[in-house]
Amino acid sequence: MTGYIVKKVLTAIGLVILISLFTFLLMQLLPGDPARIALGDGASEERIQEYRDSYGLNDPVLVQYWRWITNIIFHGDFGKSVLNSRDVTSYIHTRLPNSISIGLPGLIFGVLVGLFVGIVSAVKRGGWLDQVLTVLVNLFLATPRFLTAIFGVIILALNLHLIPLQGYTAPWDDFGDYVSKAFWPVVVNAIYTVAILARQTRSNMLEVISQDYVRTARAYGLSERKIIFRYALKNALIPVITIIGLQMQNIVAGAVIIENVFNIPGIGQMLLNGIMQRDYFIVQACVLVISVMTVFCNLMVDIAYGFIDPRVRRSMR
Amino acid sequence: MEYELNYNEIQKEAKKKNRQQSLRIFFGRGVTVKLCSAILVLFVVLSLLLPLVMNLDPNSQDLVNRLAAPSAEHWFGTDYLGRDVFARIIYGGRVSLMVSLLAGTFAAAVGIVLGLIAGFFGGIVSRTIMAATDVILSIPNMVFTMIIAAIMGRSVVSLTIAIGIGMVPTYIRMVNGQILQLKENDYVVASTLVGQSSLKILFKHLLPNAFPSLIVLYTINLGNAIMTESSLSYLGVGINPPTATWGNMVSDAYAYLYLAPRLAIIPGICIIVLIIAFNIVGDGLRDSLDPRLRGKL
Amino acid sequence: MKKWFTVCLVILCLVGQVFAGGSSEAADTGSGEEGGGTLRIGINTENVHTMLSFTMTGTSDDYYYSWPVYESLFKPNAEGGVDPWLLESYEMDKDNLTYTFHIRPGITFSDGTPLDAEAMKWNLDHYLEVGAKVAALLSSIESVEVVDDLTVVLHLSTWSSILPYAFSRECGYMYSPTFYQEHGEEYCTQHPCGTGPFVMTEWNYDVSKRFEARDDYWGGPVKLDAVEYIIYTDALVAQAAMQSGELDVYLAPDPETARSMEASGITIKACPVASSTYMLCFNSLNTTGDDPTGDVRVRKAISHAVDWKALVQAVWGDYASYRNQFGVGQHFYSDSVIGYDYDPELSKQLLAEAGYPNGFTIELKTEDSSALINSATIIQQYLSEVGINAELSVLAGADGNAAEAGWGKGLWVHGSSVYVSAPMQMASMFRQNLSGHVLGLTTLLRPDDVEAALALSVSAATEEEAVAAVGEANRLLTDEYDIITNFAETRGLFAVADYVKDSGIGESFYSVADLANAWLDK
Repeated sequence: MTGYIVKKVLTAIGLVILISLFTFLLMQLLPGDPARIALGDGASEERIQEYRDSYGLNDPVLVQYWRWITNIIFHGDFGKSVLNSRDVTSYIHTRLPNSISIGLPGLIFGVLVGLFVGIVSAVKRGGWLDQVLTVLVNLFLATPRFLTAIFGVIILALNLHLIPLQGYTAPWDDFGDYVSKAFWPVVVNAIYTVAILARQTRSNMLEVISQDYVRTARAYGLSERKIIFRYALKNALIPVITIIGLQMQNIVAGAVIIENVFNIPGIGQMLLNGIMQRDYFIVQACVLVISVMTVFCNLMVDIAYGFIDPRVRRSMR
Repeated sequence: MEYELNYNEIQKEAKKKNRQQSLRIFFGRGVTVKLCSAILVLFVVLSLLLPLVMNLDPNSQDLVNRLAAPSAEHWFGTDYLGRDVFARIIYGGRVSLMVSLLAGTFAAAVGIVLGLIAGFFGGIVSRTIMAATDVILSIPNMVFTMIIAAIMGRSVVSLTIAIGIGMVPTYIRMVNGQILQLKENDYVVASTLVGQSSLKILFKHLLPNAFPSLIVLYTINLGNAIMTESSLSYLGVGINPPTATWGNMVSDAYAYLYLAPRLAIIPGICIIVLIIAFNIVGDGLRDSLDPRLRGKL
Repeated sequence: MKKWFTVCLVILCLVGQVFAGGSSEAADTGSGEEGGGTLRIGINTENVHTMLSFTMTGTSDDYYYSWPVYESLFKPNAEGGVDPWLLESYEMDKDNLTYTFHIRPGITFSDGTPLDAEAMKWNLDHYLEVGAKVAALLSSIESVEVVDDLTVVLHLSTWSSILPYAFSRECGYMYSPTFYQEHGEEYCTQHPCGTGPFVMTEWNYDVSKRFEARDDYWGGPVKLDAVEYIIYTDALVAQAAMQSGELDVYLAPDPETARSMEASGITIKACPVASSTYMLCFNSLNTTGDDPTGDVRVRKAISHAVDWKALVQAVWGDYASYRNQFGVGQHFYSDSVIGYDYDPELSKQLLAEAGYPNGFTIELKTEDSSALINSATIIQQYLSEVGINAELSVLAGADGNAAEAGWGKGLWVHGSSVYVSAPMQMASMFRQNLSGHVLGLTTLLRPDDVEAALALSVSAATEEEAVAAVGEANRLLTDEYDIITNFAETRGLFAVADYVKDSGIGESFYSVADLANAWLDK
């Protein structure tokens, strides 16, 4: 097991290094000159050259990359925003927790509700409840997030006055306020996860239920509930873990849109603004942080697999 | 000689039977799949053929007659610049379908070729391709596509490519995985022993076997492409006006959600229906082509 | 299983109740008796990276965020002129090239230090050294002299009649020198210390800013307790917030949002003094020599091809009016400018004369705002009717900003704010030898006679002379060379709830409000 974990961790680290290089190179392709953006209105050619020199923008790309990555590793320094010379590290430091405070509950909520819906659907397969849920799941899978978000705002906030319209309060500042403001963004973010998981769980369950050992159990006269919870569920859930890992990405993608609609000061909004304003260091840093989180989650999923399913461990050797 | 001929014929016969069976399962799978297939065909036919029959101009403006309610002349009314919404829906459907088909095909073509290369040659080539795949898959698709779109600009072509690039890695991974799995299979080992060339094995055995998963992934990705296009439009990195796509019709009409909600709702419904149709047809294909894939795609 | 389901439903309902309770509590904050409460102002972007007066660049957001904290030497009024504000009075002496400013006594900065002649000189000197608009607006100032405690004299090198206008904008904001010297520039960019009625107490980047009332404001007691600026990135959500009373004011909705808000019963105030002009700009400089727009006949053909009045009505409705020349308001309006009527036949004829009987393909670019995009889309459609195929591209964010100074080939649809005085604005846009971020620096023709007329308009000895010079410049820019074709004059729009009284928002010019006297009638 230790060998397996070590191998996985090393692969992940390698991946992170490649990601950082890729992100950096990608930024070189973005049109626009950071110096010109930084100096803005009325900068002379001289000042621009001066700026480029002082920030080392005239150095070869790989040298710039090396400087960037070593600064991050050894000093935790992501550089400064081109636009307003804010410290990107502290910027991310304030933004990331906000994103997590919306994304993580979204993920948990999505997974729990998704599993629940999937199980209910599978148990009641063919019944009216299953059919209603299947229709809903398909609808959720197909509705762009921004539409769900805004229709929710119009119905829930404007017509029913159940939730505030937008804004954000951090849970550590005022938990009640956070819950009321974050409720809808979290739900919107979770809806897609719910749909994906419900669909997966349902079909996994149906597959397991139709397998021999379940049939045997049924033939032995075990109660349906016992069969479902003791046998079917356990086996149906293993592939679901992969999906949960993949949903991390979904939550981040959702963050870009949701933070824009509700004006939540998270990393998704920071990233979108960064792209729009060509704020290279911000985009680089955001993409790196997000990707590292994704890699970390996948690593956790892999390790979890190793524990749950011994075959995986063996195949790695 | 005779035996070989016979063998070929049997194989052909079996293939035919198999295909018929797949089709039967596909269309026998209840009314939903049939309906969704019909919807897809309808969308494609309408957007391709209707402009030939009817006199539709998606961009001609009637500045006096803005935000007009639906009428005999304008079936879905007019938008904020007095353009016929019905015409824009039809032409927008053309562009949306085209973007999704081209992006999906681009991604499938590039992804399959790279996946085959990676899966087949192994070694350093394979590692490079797979590493690149892992890197791109670690960046959330939406974010990656957004950056590519920002790099390439806002034309139909560049957006198509941006969406396509974002989908390439899933194909690479799938093809590569399938090949690795198949390589272990008895009949491939047998073929190698018999002395068939690598290329022959590739096209005779590996590709046909990977085909079901690919076609399903392709169908589902078509829906995803439309979803991505509409989200990009909302975020302000969509296709340049005045070209209508369902995505930018929704996002442009967004500001009129109170004044003329139909402007956003009609293309919104089109998007949702189309994605649902793609998803369900994808499911149907999966069940008929290869039921073992259920739960894996 | 059924039991489970019921339990879950009950839990959901309970949770819903909690949220309902939470939200009604949240809605209570800010209400208060007369002379109290918090004014909540919605705004669509942060976009302001500095709150230090002399590092501002004069964007509309700079002004909006400055309402609570900064006041300028002059204040734009509802008639399109300016009145002394921090000044009690001023005198101009054209022969001796001086302006004499008499400071209103008793004004203090929010750190308690007084605004005296020394403080004003420090501010003016500082602005002249680092300010973004010095070259465009203040280049005529030679030195600033302190005469006595409350009197400052400006010595000019050439006469400039636009100084009172220039000092009615961010150039005329006063910042406490003591505070600046104590804390340094970096700190001050995040902590404004002006003469205004409020002090900034909280800046939650990209989310909100909070300003609390001063008790030592020179203009008397401040009625509100606080002002809060909250960012609403989504205009639709902002509209919903206005409807539900979560917001009291929404700053600068675009025409669509304004129309939508008005339809749902929210009062939209349009400033009596227009603040922006929209125009089609041509690559008239044509450095590569192969752009059709290098030919004045082509430019005129394009201008004649569009029904500008219909365009303005379609894009802005009643929030804007057609205008055939640069500038806003009646003061500098010249009847001698003819402009371009909708005449597609003439347009085709001109195209044929220029050697393009079958039209051509051209680029049409603009920035990412709904009014600009809609204008460009309409222009494109009209051009297609005379055989010109215009390829529209929208440049967002930094791209758009960069393209403003030179969009390469073809056409550029531009919206320019005009700060009260047309000559002031034109001098910073169409004169020769400008540098930095200037409209069409690499694409606009800058003929000598336009330069001469604009030079005269700024240094004119009498107002009539200035008006005539602006008229001449406009005639040359539009009718003679067709370097730009203006089509709209738009007014600043503000959504203001009816219970917000005496705020001055949307009552004179977009850049100023009167938050010191604002109160909530709830």
